[in-house]
Amino acid sequence: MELEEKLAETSIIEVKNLRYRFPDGTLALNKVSFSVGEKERVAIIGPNGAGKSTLLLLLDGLLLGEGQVKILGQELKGDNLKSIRSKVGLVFQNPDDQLFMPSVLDDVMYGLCVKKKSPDNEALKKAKGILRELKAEALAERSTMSLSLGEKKKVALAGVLVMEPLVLLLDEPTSGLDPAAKRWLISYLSALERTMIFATHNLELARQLADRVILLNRGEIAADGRATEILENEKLLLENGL
Amino acid sequence: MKSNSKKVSLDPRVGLVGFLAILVFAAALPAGAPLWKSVVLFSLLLTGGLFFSFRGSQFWKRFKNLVLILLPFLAFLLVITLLFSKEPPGRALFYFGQMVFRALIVVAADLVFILSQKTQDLLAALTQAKLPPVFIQLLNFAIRYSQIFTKEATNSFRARLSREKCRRLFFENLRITGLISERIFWRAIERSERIYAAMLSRGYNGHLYFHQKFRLQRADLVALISLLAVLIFLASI
Repeated sequence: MELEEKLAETSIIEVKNLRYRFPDGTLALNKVSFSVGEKERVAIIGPNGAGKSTLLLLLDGLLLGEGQVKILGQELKGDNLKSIRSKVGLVFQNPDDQLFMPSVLDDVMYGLCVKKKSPDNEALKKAKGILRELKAEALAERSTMSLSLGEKKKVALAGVLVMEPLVLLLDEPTSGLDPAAKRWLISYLSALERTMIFATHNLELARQLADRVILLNRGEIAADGRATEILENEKLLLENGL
Repeated sequence: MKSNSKKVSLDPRVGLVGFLAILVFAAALPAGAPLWKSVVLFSLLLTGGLFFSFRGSQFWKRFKNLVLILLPFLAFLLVITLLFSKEPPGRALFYFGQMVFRALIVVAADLVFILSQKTQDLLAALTQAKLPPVFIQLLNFAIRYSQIFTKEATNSFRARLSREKCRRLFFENLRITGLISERIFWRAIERSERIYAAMLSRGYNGHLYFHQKFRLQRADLVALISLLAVLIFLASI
């Protein structure tokens, strides 16, 4: 009990009995409960349609379900969505869904401009800095539509990281990337000291990046534990469609 | 003016004003105006496009593509003119020729003043010109959605081609095209919902922000004043 209370005190994300139905009535998530500690890296794995992406959207307040979601002690509700979203950064699976400004630099600095309500020099400097960090400096003046998938993924990640979110949510971060880009992204994310939750099919990515794994199947948590324990349990993975 | 991938790039605001001025001129030219006025303006625009706005054969390529889009409308207009005009055929063809030249002028002006600019520069310039944010957003999202639509359409029609083993009847083709169009429409709506979710996740507040700041150069002003002078001269004689 004492340990649980201590964990609850340090947890950044707390999810209790989360339930979500799609508008057509399909149950996407059912009785999902877990908590994530500070700087913990959690992989959400599961087969197609397990509810991984839906869970990330719920954690960012883009969908509202039944049950309780607390981010940094604040319960996710309609009236505090903006303040919570400024602390949680979500990188979408398909960067084409995320990039909406015509140029790379404008897209990366968008989140900062919203905070300051104008594109000032500080925001510009920060955006250029993050592009440099991601080795995407040369893309700054390019159109977001003329980039390759790998470049788009970098720009999408930059647009979220520039806002310095306390929690980083990533949906299939390595999907569609070539091996070199995958290796680079994994090493970059490994070096980031931040609370991170990522949804993936890629068990190798989970093995390399996650401290902990949550296995979702048909909208319910099938297993939750240390990455090494779950990823080495072949029977459990096979039973749950992986 | 700045130099980049194009030969010369006008300040986007000057480009926009120039385009609007030519649009007004082409629309306001009286029906009986001598054809040479249109020819002179069209030639000036061609010269501008070939020697200042575009490199190599890019101008001709784009011009040809736009004219190809225009062609069916012009053909329809020719039929209507010949069949229903109460004027003698020679006069009716003269009016038709005027309309063709006006259309070509607008196409050339679009290429020289608008399509030679980068989308981001145009939007940034419009923002800087203090146009209402709603207008900028509508323009930005119209461009974004047209890109999505084009991408989805290209993928769908490629997928259809790759699965076609034999020639289909015309009506069967039409039915399949209709089904694909419906699918593209729904996919574009789904995509737009996801884009909106991503915008919200980054704090979207109903405004778009652009980092580019434009300053009018002397060359921009000279170009604009020269263009307006030519238009006024052509209109007044």
